[in-house]
Amino acid sequence: MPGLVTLVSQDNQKIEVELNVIRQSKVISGMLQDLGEDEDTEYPIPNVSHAILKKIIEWCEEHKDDAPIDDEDPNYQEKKRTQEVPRWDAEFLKVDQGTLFEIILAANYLDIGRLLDFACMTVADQIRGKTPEEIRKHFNIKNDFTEEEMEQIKKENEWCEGN
Amino acid sequence: MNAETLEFFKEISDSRAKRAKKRPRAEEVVPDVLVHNVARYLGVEDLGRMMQVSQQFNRVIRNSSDLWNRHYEEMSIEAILPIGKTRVRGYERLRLAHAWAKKGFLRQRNKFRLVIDKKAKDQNSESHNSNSSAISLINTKHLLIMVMNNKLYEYPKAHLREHTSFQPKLIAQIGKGFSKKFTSLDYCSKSKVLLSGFDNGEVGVARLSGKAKDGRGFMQKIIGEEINSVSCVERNFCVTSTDKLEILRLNEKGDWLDRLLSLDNQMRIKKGKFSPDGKKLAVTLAEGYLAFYDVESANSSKVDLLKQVRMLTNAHSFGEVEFFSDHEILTTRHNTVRLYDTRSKELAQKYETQNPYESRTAAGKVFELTSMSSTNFGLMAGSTTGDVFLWDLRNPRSHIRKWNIANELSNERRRLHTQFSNLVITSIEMDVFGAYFISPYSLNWIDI
Repeated sequence: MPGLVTLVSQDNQKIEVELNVIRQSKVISGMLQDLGEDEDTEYPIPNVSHAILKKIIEWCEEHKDDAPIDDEDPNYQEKKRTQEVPRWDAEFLKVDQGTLFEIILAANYLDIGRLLDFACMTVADQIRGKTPEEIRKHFNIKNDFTEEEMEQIKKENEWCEGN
Repeated sequence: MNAETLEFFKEISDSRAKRAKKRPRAEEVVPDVLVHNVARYLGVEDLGRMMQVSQQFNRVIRNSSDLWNRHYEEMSIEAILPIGKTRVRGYERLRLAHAWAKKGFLRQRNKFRLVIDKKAKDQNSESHNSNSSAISLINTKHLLIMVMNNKLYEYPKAHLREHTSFQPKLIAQIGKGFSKKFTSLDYCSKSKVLLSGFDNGEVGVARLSGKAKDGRGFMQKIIGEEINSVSCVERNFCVTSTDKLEILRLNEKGDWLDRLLSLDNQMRIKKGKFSPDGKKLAVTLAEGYLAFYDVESANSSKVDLLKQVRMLTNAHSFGEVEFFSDHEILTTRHNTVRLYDTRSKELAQKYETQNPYESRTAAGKVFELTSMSSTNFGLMAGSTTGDVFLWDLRNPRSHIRKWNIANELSNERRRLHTQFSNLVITSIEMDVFGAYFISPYSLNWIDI
């Protein structure tokens, strides 16, 4: 079928996707330009697993009619900072944390600005206002500071508390 | 996306795959890029807390100055910065700036410079011809206005952080056939008047109103010889040449300058500068003399000489002069910035620096402070050798940071800077958010 490209995920699985859908990824549209829009060509996406790639394509399908964004436009930058995650995207991003992180990494790798923004906003919303201990719990990471370092860092960051 | 980035992600996925084998997925370390991307949507307070989470978080956030700069931008636009539930006012902002400085965010964030004219040949030959052609920089709330290579440019400050490839916009250029050159520049943010002095004794007055310029401006011949400094506050103007001092006032219609005082001085005049409120004028003269004039009442056309005192006992004279407050002035001489109290006529503070070069070398011989700028907490000065120094106002004994513009240049650009005259920091402007300084061929920016 015309207008289709084949992507190959990390685990060597093939997915067919419409050209105008996947163009939202600047990396893939760059590849298309470099390698030519040949139907027989397979485009390797070595850093994204099959499941996540499917998720990404689902998002791109939904947003294929959106106006392209201009990253350099200061108005867009401003808007990005103040806007909220739209309802559909918020629903879409209601996934377990591991998947959400994978989506962020994939969106970053594939350079899909809006998806990256929404996914990061979702994580930022989750950790906003939390104490360091709560953030650790959220990300499931250990406190690897020594006691001395901890004291020093607390002292350094006094200014951002107690306002 | 370039090959390096691809490589980077490959490495990440490899290391993640290894880790996933070793231990349960839940314990996986969060990749740096994720931490950074998420932090982009957090406020200052949350960034501070993120830094306390783990060594990795601390490193990623501490090293990403763009995360912090985002908040500076907000600070420059709004008078009050909302942090969490509280709102932070002026002095608090300053406290934040201090805290950031302590954290090591005081750095040249972007090795950003613009080379105005690209042809190397042109640049070198021009610098030979126009050694005296001054270049100057004005820092307004949103714009940098500068004279380089006898052309007047403007540059939106917001672009420094977002569009580094943006070339400055040319506002005015001396037409062909005219031999005059820009020698000095000043701007009054209250009346939005841009005043430029030329080497044939003319001054140009132009009004910059907001974004759209209404193009009102005029030229007026003031002195018959080269103007060496201009200063303006609201309607009061001061123009100096080596042996003449003129104090002028813009008429009501704003199309002509009326003379308030014209003075022939026996001593060589160096620079004249108004106090921020426009009521006083400080003039530096040869042999370490400083003169103060009172231009107080806007209605009367009387100008009084308050005092003329000799501040330096040797035969040297001051270079630059700036008002620090309404009764304190900063002056440069050789490697020292001196702060004088004009009421007690005494030296209040001395900000010293060592000559960074051996005295026998060429650089050591030409080293001298050429320009300065101050804020409530810091003082910066540029030098003939391309070095820029920063002092904490509370600690005058030695500078706390030093940069050199030649160190940041690429090899190609460095070739253009073989002469010291091309490294001179002729003008420096500093505010709470950063410092801007220019050498004959580059605009430099340090983010604080």
